[in-house]
Amino acid sequence: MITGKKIFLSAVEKKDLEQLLEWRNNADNRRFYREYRELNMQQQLMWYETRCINDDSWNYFTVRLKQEPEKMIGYCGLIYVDRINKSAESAFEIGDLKYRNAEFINDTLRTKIEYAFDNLNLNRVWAEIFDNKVYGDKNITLDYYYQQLGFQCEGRKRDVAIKDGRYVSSTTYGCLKEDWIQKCQ
Amino acid sequence: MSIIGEKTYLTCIKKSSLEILRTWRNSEDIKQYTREYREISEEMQSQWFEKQIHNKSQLNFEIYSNDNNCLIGQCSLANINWTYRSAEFGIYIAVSNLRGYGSDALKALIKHGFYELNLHRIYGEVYSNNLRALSAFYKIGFVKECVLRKAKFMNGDYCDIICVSMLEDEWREKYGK
Repeated sequence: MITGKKIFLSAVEKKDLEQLLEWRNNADNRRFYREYRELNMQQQLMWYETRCINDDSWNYFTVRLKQEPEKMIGYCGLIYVDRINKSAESAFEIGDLKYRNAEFINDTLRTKIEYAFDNLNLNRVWAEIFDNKVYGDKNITLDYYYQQLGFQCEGRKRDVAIKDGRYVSSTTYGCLKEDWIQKCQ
Repeated sequence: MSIIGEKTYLTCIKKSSLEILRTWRNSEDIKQYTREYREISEEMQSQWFEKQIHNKSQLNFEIYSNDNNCLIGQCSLANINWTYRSAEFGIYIAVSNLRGYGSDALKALIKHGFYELNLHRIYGEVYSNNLRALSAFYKIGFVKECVLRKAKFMNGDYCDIICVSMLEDEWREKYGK
């Protein structure tokens, strides 16, 4: 268990897969990540088997409330972990819209990234954010939440994906251990 | 299948070339600019060859010199995303003193990507200390998009990764049809 202020991260269990799949297949959510397929349970099970159980370079967690441990509000991960270059990509989703706000987004990201630097001994965490996607209850994009934690804009990749019928570009944010220490410790 | 440039042409990977390609891949000069950190064994090379035959998201090529039909290097389009129409290029020239051959092969590869495979975006990652490659790519028309800070550890220290890319209309504008 990896604890934050009001949330904690725990390993993905088989019983979580159905809810995760529902969030994954949600058309609104898909606007935020690279996935475009409509996934079935068989694919979800295969993903669980290959990534969650058998892949060292893939760290996926469910996000739960400390006060209500049975309540899963989302998921997050440190993926494509590169052990030699000590880097990983950050992925997350607060699937339960009631909790998709600044407090819980910050709590989730902060907890996960602290784990990346202090436990996984990484030197760099990065994230790729698609253009202008407001996330949560206020008029704020994902960029803001990452920048709050010390992430810096490293550039833009043009026309990387098709969302809502047109090409979108993405911004890459990177956080080095030194950035994290300066901002958050 | 042949993809023809001015100085070079590209063909598919042949079993008979695997050993020389493996030697090149393992050589210090070339290996330092690839992602592979292990020494590639004959068995690993053979398995890679079998896998890439069936892998629809990558295309691998041998590079030959037009002058003397000698094998001089290797290039590829990998991580092909057929929905978003994007692919990552990779290239090395193993024979020294061949000025302009790498650029020629890369141009032939990219033309194939845009004109035959109907791609929209071709991108690549270059380590910031690979100055020769960077200047060649900019000259061809690749645009610098990102600087991934300290994303690569090599020769005892971290360096940056530079992301470059080209879009199909940029290619058409620069090189016509």
